[in-house]
Amino acid sequence: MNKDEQSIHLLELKVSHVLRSGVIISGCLLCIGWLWNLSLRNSSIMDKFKTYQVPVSFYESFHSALYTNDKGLLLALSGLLILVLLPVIRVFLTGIMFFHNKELRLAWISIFVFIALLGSFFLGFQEGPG
Amino acid sequence: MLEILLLFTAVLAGFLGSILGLGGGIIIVPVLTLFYHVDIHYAVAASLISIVATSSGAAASYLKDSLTNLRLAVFLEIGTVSGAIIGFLISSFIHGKILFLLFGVMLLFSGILMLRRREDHISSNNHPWSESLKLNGTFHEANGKTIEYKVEHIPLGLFIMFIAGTLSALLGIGSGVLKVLAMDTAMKLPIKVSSATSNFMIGVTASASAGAYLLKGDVKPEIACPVALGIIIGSYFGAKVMMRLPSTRIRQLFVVILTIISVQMIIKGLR
Repeated sequence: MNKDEQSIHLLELKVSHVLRSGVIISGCLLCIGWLWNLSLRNSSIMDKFKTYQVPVSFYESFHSALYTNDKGLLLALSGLLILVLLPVIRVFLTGIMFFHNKELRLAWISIFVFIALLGSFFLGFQEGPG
Repeated sequence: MLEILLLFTAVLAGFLGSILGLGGGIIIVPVLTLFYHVDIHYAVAASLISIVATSSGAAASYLKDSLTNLRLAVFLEIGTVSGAIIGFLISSFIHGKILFLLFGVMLLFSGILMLRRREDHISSNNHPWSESLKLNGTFHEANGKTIEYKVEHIPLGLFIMFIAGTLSALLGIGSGVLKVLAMDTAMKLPIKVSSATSNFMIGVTASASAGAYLLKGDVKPEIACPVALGIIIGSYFGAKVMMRLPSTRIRQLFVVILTIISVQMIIKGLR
């Protein structure tokens, strides 16, 4: 590994440590949100998920949780959103690192992957009914 | 309550998945659908969330030993992410029964691949793309010896990565088995490098479809939260225990279990 590659590798390692912290934060949000809502329920709602229903989009769920002050759901949804964004942030930072080291082709490839990831999120937003 | 039981089941799935090196997704989807009777679309979405969590949490450990080829991972993510987008787009049009069949076949295929003897390659031929993007690399053996390797058949590898991404989005799995196959067999990478690089890429592949399913509304927090938490805990302990277990015997035993589950998934798909 040459000097440039080593510096990219070390920076990527630092980014990965940040990602681990992100997983811990989102894990805590998921845990608190889930337990919060679980404590408010008397019976299981797993039966609801036996058949596929018309989806309620993330935006709609979040909006309705805000409106009804459903703190458990708000925490769980925030945890889920942070979690899925972590790899996207990693790809973006990798691209920046390649730009910094003047590895332009790999930098543009990273940015392409980053845009594709954002595009896939957008497709989900489009496919949702809300 | 069933949700608490689901948390413990997910811990077990994460633990087993980690020991087998397959990830929790390939175990949790059949468990959710066959035992908890959850619709396969919700099971797939919940599983993808757990894959993102475990992969992002473990990314640092994959980079620590310098086995991960970061440049190659970034390049191959073009294939996996594009595949995941296609997988997400066609998932709405694929009937649950087809997904059960596909999952059963994939499970059987993974079981067979687990039993194969992986041949270690140190390729000396560099594909022109590898030459131009400097995708070849080096790593250090335990004895301090530096191993240099090159990368062959990149277009074929990229194509298999595309299939891996599509299956990941459709079935809620990390597709590590296919990624390793692409790097080991097609691109002739050393075993250690292909395993580490594949693990590093899994989170990015899964996040493409996990994010789409989340925004669409297919990720149900009531299922995804216990599943993700359980798999994070289970795979953490699985990784600790894995080193002390006689892996070959355990793999052979679990191949039998995987075969039984895959047959059940295929039967459910055929009904």
